[in-house]
Amino acid sequence: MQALADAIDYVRQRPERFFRGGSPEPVELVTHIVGEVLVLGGSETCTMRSGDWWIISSNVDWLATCPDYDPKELFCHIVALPEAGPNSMRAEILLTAFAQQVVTVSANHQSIIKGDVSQADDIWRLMASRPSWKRTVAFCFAPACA
Amino acid sequence: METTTGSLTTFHGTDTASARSLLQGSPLSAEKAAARKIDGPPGFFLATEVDDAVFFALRRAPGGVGACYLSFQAVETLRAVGAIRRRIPPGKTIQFLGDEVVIPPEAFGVFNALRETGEITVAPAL
Repeated sequence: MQALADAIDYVRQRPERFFRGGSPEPVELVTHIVGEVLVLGGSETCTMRSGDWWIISSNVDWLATCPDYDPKELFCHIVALPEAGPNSMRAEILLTAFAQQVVTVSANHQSIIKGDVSQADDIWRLMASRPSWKRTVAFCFAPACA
Repeated sequence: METTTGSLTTFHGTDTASARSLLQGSPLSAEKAAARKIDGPPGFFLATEVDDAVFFALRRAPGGVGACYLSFQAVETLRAVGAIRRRIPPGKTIQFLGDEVVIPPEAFGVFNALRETGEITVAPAL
């Protein structure tokens, strides 16, 4: 029996399963994440776009709500989201599968999830511009490179 | 459950330990199924599309997929004790390709008996 573990590749090879139009769209990625945040107890969210970067923030650190995975692991696994009903899954892995760069910032920590993002990149300043948010996730989606 | 004129090939995706246990002939257990439940109603779920089963295996990664071959008699017998076939309910973020056969816990004994008589066979799918 083959052991299956590469969830990112599974998702990347099947965009039609995750996007209504059949191909990855940044607006739909944002919608997936914002919906998840609200399901997980966030009462305030903020979305912002700067060029090819899309930024989602919340007053709740929704990545810290999963007992089985630490925040960075959520971006590389298919993780059930029972709060949203049967067969639901968390959406962070979609960012890893389809965006070119993914970064996240919490109250006291910043992480590069995917891609090379220089410390001088303006995305860090944008993410730090609203320090009251408990968690911010940003992804770069350049359609020509998708 | 839909009636068919022949056997029905289905797939079960789960963690590798549970998949190996199924392949080795361990009977379905309502207690074990309840203890390992992630979401949805209780039961044993079989997908008609292997790709859907791979999703459920990856949800418990490292995972594995077993193929369950149900004879026509097995399908009819399971239907009579409450098994149903339906579209896999879409979850938030994910759509599925095919159907699922839901074996309720009260039908596990019948499922196990059908395996013992060879009306249901299980083999590695991938």
